[in-house]
Amino acid sequence: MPSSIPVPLAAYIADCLAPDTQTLVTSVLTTPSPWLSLRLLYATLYGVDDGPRHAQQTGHEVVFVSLLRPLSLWAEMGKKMGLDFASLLRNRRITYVDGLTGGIPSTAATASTIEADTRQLPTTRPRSITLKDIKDALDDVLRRPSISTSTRPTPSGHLSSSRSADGVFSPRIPPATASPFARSVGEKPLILIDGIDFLLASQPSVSPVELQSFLATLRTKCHGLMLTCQADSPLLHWSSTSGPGHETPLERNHAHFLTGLAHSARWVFQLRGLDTGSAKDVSGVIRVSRGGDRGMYDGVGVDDSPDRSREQDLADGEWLYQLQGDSAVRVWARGE
Amino acid sequence: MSFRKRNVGLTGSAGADGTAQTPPAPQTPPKERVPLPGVRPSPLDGRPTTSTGTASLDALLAGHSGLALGSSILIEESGTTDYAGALLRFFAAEGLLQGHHVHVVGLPEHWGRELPGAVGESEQKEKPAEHTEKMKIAWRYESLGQFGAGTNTRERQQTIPKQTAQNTEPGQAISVPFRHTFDLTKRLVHPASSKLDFVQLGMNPSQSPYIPVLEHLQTSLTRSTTDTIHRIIIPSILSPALYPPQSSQPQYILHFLHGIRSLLAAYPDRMIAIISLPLSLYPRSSGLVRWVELLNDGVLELSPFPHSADGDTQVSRGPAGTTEEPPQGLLQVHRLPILHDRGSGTGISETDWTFTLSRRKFTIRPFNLPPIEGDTEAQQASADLKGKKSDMEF
Repeated sequence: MPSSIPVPLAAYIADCLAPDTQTLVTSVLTTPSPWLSLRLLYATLYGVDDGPRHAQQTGHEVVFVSLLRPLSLWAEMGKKMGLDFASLLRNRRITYVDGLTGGIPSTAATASTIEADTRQLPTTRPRSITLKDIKDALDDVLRRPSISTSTRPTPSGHLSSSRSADGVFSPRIPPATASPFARSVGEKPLILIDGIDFLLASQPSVSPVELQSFLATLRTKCHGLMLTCQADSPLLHWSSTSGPGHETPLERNHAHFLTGLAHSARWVFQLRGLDTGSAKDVSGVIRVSRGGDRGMYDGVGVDDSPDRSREQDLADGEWLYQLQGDSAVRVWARGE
Repeated sequence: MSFRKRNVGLTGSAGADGTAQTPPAPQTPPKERVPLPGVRPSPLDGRPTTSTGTASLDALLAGHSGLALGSSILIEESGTTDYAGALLRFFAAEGLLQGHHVHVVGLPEHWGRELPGAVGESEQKEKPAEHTEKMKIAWRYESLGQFGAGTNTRERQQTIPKQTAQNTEPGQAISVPFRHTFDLTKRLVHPASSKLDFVQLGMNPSQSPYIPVLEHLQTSLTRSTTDTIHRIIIPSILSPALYPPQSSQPQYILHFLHGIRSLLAAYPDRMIAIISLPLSLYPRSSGLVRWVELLNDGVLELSPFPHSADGDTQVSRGPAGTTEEPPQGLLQVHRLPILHDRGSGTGISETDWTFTLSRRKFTIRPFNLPPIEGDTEAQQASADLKGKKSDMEF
């Protein structure tokens, strides 16, 4: 079985796992992002290298907030790439905050048969899909004993194992023996929020600034933050189509919010369709570009210098990708 | 892969399900569930699907040859025509004939009396002609590929049980086919057990008009038995003729669609939804419409050709010499359920199609320009026509 993480993206995804990193994934209507979210999730849990999987526990715990997509989708796609959501949820490696079925009474779980297995998994349901309730649910999750919210700086020993490709920062401990260190007390979870921009679109009372400050607070409590957003042109380029003054608050807020996120992210993964039409064997284009968060490490400390040199090695890049029926993803450069 | 193994193991039980719908590809009724009326597994990955009531629309859905349960489709239409309405009527009529529970949002009850009737068994004799026509299309456009061919074989299979079962009552579950053919000039005779609900919007300007709708759907889904499929039909959403002014507020409409999505997620094997949206009032370039699209699993756009009404007679006896009816509009596929999200399905190489609505059926074909020799003639004809028309107008 091929590696779950596409080779061209591995170095970038590994870099996204550095502490205090914010990663932004944008997608458009024809190129949804679940496959990439799952690969980021996989890398967080098991590391980028497709090494011995039984030496799990190399990565971080994940708080996974899904606002627009059902757990059954994640479970179905995850299963095909080696993420067993059922056991990950039971082991508390993933804490799932279900923003989609929040309002539905859980008695519904007994009624259906097909997804019964995913229903009985421990998930957190916010009372409703408002910023306040999501905030409460996340605070609640982060307070739970299995995930420590200690503010001590994260010991970085466990992290290094996920970056053995890097010569400068090579792991002192091989992944297999790193496991005792992995679940250190001070470890903070990584938070992945799918569809955070829906909060902004569906609640005009929430301003982009409010949402950004929520995310900034969240960022201090977690190891890293990964966000997926929509970057469809009607949501961003309102000024070019309808002229200034004709945009609705929804469009204006979305553009401001997304731009802000891109500035505070280390890497931005953009998914979009082919510019030249559509093709049977190409699902879309993925572009990985540097976000605005590169100045953060300048002159901070000696520890970060490998990070910096490493980051400078990575250039922005653009590839084509194809999502295949068995959830495998082929990523290749143009002309390959 | 693990899911393939499961397919192999359960093929036997698929043959015994009694619906006489056994396409050649391996299929799996997930787990050991009783077959639901009008539901069959997708030939590609075995997920349960049901028919939209329109054969060519089923064929368009990424090779699953039906709409996967738990997904929703948004049909956008520009202009003043109501082609999307026809698709919705077929969808409703199909649901009623399959014994599904049909919920129609925001429309008065007489809509239910105007549903198209199914073509009777005796009239099925016209079928062979349609088949040859379809065969030719499949031959001409190889890019149609798997699903074009797939539809053919499957339809031919269907006619066999239909014809042999002529003497049985049409309402019986045994003989009910996966998909019916409807005739727009007929009226549907509602089966005695049909469940058709018309859900009205709340008109209180201070709160969301969609609250009563979501409440109704939720209670009827929780109360119904596990073998009832619910079809949600939302015609012309946001149209000012039906919807109060505040309904296009993002906090109301987006929450409503999110609520529909939650229900679909909570009852993934018992619910499907179809929504139509008038694009003339809500252009695709607006952020709100884009969010509406993002909250649906499938998005299709219908753009009727402006001249189709008077072009009909010209082109039908035109150069091609075929009995094909001229296309009445452009159909663009922006997103398909299951395929785009989950990657499972046959990818299509084109997004542009044409559609033709005739008395009997809604046909979707690849969008091709006619051959050049004929084209000049047709162009002249249409130019003449346009000239005459403008003469008359001015």
